[in-house]
Amino acid sequence: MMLALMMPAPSYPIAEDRGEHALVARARSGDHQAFECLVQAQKDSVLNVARRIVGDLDAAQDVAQETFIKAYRELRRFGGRSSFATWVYGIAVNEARMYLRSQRRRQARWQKQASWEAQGSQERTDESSEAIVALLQELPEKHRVAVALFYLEELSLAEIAQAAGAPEGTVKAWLSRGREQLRQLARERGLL
Amino acid sequence: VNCQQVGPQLADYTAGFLGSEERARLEAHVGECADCAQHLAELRALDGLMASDRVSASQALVARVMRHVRPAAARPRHAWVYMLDGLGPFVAAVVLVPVCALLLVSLLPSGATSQATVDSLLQQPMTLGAAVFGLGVVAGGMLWLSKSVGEALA
Repeated sequence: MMLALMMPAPSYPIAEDRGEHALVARARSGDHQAFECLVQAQKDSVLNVARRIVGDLDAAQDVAQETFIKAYRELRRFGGRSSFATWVYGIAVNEARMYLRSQRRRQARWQKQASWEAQGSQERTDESSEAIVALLQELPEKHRVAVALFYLEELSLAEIAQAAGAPEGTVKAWLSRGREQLRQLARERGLL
Repeated sequence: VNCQQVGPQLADYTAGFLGSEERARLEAHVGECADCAQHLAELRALDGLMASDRVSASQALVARVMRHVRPAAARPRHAWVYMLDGLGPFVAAVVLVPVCALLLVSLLPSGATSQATVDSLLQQPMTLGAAVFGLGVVAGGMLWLSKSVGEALA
């Protein structure tokens, strides 16, 4: 781990191969540096989407890590119909949903345990959540996913729909309701 | 156009989802309605709040991903890792020799000679087979363990 941390960030050596499709093709053929370039380009966006869906930075780091590992394993399935970024956001959304499901199962188990344990976990959650991300957690999951992808500010409605795995019209409705709910919550908590 | 019609459309307006006609109608209403103008201002403030709430991923995340992606052979290895790998057979031998001796002694009838031991073992092929199989499993397990520890620490 320490050795990996001490290693310099990769340079982008072949200027003409910076295009996403060229990098994907190189990564598919086993070029790890090409895949690392793709990870470098998407790491912030994937982390932000994950954090806004799961509500916790540590958990979001795990989700982002699993997202890229899964993306590498399934790179051959990437058909190129969407951008690599949109495809990876779709994986991130699925990973975040899986994380939330496992959390819910874990919380259900915790509720059966002694009350002091439940109180302790709640305190940790409250401390680690920032105000706006905490508000996002109050939205229904599907609205939250749409809002998280929308605020990446780089995706069209069609791309958000693709990453969220739902039709455009449905995602548009989720977005409108989600942003309106978020505005009302933010106003109630004095954030606006 | 009234506030009940415009209110639900304001989120779509700020997202750029409205057509030019709807947009013009909405803008005309907001220009005259203080409540809807306030509603619109809040949505824009929310957009600003969300835009400023971005975190950056560290290089440690990339490093963790690439550790999983790169095959183990491509990872940098150090002399002590090779040494740890090489320790496997040595440790296996150190453990196996006494274990073998103990097994043989336990199979011996008390006071038997070495020729009697060999005869006794040959008369119990199942016991001998089980003992050899068990030793093989132990040896394989130790080799695997030392290799796994070496790779995990690499």
